[in-house]
Amino acid sequence: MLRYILQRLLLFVPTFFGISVFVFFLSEQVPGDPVKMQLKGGDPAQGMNSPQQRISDQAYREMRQRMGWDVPPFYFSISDGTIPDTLHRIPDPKKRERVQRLAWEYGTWEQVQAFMKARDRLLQKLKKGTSGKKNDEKIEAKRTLYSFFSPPTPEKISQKLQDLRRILNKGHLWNDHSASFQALEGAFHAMVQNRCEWKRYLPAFHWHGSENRYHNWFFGDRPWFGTSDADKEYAGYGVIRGDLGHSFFQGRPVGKILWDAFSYTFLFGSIAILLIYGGSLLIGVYTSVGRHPLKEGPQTLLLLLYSMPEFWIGTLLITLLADPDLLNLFPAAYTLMEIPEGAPWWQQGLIHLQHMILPLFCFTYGSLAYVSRQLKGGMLDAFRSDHMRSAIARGIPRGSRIWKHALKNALLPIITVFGTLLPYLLSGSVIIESIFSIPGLGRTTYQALMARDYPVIFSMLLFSSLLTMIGTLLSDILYAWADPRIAYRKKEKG
Amino acid sequence: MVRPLERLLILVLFFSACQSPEPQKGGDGTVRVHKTSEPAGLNPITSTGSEALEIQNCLFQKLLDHHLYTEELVPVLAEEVPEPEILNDSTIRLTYRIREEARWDNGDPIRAKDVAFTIKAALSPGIDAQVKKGYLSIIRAIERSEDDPKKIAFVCDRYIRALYSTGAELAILPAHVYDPEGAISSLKLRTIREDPDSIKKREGYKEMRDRLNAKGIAPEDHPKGSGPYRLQKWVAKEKLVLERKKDHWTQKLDTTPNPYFTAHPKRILHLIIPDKTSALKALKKEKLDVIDHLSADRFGSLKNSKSIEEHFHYKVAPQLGYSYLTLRMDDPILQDRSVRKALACLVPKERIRSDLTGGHGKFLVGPVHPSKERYYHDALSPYRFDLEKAQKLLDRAGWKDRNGDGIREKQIQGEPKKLSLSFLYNAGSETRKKVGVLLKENSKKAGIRIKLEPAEWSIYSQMLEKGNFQVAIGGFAFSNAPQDPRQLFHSSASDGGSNYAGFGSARTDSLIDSLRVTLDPEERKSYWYALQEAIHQEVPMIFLQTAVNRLAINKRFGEVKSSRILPGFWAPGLRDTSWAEP
Repeated sequence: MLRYILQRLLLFVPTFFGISVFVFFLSEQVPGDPVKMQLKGGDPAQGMNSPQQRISDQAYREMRQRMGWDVPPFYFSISDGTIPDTLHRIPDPKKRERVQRLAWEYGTWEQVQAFMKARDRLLQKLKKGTSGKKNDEKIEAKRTLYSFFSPPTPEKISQKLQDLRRILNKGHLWNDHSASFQALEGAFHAMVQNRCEWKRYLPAFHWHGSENRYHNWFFGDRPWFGTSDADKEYAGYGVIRGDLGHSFFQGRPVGKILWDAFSYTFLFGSIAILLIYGGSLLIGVYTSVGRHPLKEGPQTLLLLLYSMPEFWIGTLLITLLADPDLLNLFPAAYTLMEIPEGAPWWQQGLIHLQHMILPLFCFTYGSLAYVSRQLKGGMLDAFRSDHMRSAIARGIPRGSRIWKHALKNALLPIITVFGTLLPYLLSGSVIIESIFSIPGLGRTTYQALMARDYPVIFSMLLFSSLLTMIGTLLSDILYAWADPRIAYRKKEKG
Repeated sequence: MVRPLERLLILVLFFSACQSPEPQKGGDGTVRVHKTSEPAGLNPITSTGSEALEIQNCLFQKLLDHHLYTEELVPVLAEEVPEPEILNDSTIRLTYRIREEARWDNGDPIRAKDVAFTIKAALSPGIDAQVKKGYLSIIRAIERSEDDPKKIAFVCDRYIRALYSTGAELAILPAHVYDPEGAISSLKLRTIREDPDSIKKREGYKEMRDRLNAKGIAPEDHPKGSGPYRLQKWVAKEKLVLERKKDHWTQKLDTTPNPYFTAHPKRILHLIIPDKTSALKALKKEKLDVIDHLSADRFGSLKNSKSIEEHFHYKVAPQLGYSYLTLRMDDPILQDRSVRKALACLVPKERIRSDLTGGHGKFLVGPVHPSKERYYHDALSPYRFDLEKAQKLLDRAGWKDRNGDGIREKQIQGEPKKLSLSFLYNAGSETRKKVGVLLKENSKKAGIRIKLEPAEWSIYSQMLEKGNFQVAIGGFAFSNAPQDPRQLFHSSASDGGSNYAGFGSARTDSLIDSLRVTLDPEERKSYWYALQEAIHQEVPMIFLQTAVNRLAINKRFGEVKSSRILPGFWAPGLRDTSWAEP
């Protein structure tokens, strides 16, 4: 058994690593630019934007570097043949996307770069003259340059170039801008002539080395041995050395944020687990023994509740039981708890209890219904089995029959549930925690997701996957305890 | 034997007995304010969110600030609002003198060096003040007087917001707390701008940077300013406790000209309750004194509650903001002005106002808020719902339903095109969705098909910025500074700015450029009028209504004046009638 546990614990390492890579890749697919969100703010709750000063390219670059977003995401990347390994060096995501589209269309990176440069130069030249003489054609010309990329096919661009020539001529801008325009046209023709569409269909492999976001996050970029360079700015020690990084939005160490939140979730989760298992033992056994019409009562009630979603029950409970106009029995929010100074322990306990009852009810009722139902089924099966009949025949007293012989056999299905219940309860529930304003892990994760706060999201996902692994291991161990027929080592020949 | 019903009764009695004691109604000098989320940081130069602003106003002070009710600039740390001294065509000088009595917590007087430090810090490399940097870009030089340590002058671009950018944008930070080593105190503004890398090597730079970038949750990172309150405690996601300072320097001053000098409550609690239903229950129980940003439905249902009616005043504070529909002007369908005008005639503004938003907002013609009476063009009248006019406009523009499927068509560049548009909104906003549905219904009658397109907030914002939409709904919130239309309507803001529609011609661009530098109010008025006319004609945006903030404030504070400045009330100005005179 011990050897089995050790083996399983060793298996944790590659699984954990695999999950970390998987989580990282998923995050790459999520739209939304964390750098921009950090810089701009905005208020999704009110749906209002404040028309701010435009964020300069330099400010964006600086922030991107501070957030460690200026290096490639992983050790290597696989793309189509048109994308070079230096694409991530373009800081502005809009520009990056445009260049990528052009590259896909024409396939030759150098020519695409030259074309972009020529376009930017013309745009700059047009912009510079804004304060002097101005005319609508100048604005029209700029607009045409902005619209080069939707979509950047040769036909469209050449059409746009013709338009541009016409606009420049019409607005008497030709003399000032002919050189830049001809350079742009030249760059375009070079791009078209060297076009190689086949590159799109050819995969390209780029090796980026250890200077990447995943490496910095998981392994850290501080040296493992020896002293670190005092002048260098490091990303951190890495998850593997216990450094979960800093939250983008709160600036605090992620470990600390999660620990603070975990203390609440743990409080509710552990009490909920005790209640669920204690409660379902009682209800499961009570309803499976003997026949009385009222026996089905608690289970029916629970199943009725089970079919209703938590957010609805939670809101309903608050509306009915925490309203001075109806029944004012419970407080409305956990965070409003005020403990008078110098209150004796029992009063403190009562105040806590009062704030916890409604959320605890929401945490438990669903699982309680499910687990007790499982247990009841298990008990009924056990009663019908041969060894129970022989136990009756042997004259074993009723209590011992139920609690010792039948129950142990009925436990197997609810042990299976335990493996999934543990991570569910300890990683917090977004809905319940929001309704009752409990500052636990679920709410933290939700806020982090909304704000694209990747260091917090990653750590939270790793934490809940770790919990799932521990949960399944625990249930495996409990299996062996409940049913000696289950053995976790190879059967010895004999 | 106790029967189930009796058992329940006993339980009920038990819990009612252990209800925590009624809050001593303000006897302890506390004001409890509701918040749905906590600020992302409290340092005035690095944090951006609107939640932070309200708390920062208690912790810090600026040279000038907008009067809560008159909205004029009033001196706070400064002795008076300076008159701009015109140096030449493009630059002006603004000279401030800090009040004699203004002091930091340690008793040191607030001096010009602190002001200079704050501005230089915001412009230094590695400080997360990217948003502020934009506002400060107009400052060309800082001048300090040799013999008067309280005098400071700014040479800046001739710009309508110069007074705001130099005086009312940044709260002043104590140099002795954030930069005791003097890493940047001796540097010139020009050095910081032109050679940022050299600063990174200076002694004390890293410590200063970390102090300024700290978000302020941990006790050692709590922000420190000259305001009448200090942050006593910040429990993450739970509450922020502000405590009034003893013998603050403003207490000796007359508060009538400046409401920012009042500080009645001993403590101000900002309690974070994300769920509005729970927050309203807490309000009913008087566990909260103030709640703001209520939706129209909730506000309506509050008014029907007897127990709230008894204890709370309801307020609808107008806000400097508006909601709009923006139309992408380079779209093949929408580049036709008649289609844009037709859409403007199809938006049922009256229904949106009365059915969806409680009838509190005001209609407006253009980007100028109706409360800014001097510049608001009231000779124009906002577009109203007019089905016939819309149909006429579309007919005249050649959009006709030729195949009888109820949707108009037209040949555009040789290709037949259906009059079908997408309506982008941020998912989760019920009101905006309903606006979309109303528009869809009305447009159908006129032969336009509208497809609703929800997107999660960050994607929605990205789509707006990239111009990947046809019709989109949104809102803008403004500060009280003189409005600069450049970010919203200048053609240069159409690629990366907030000019999502892509509006702008040489004429409007030059109007906007003039507006930015003209200080004379009459001249400004003529430019604003011309710009509003142009926007009204071109319809890059359909202006729906002005924004409002719906509040409930406990009656124990007496009659409270609401303010257009967010959050609509001034928490330190709330005073329970039972509190002793200060």
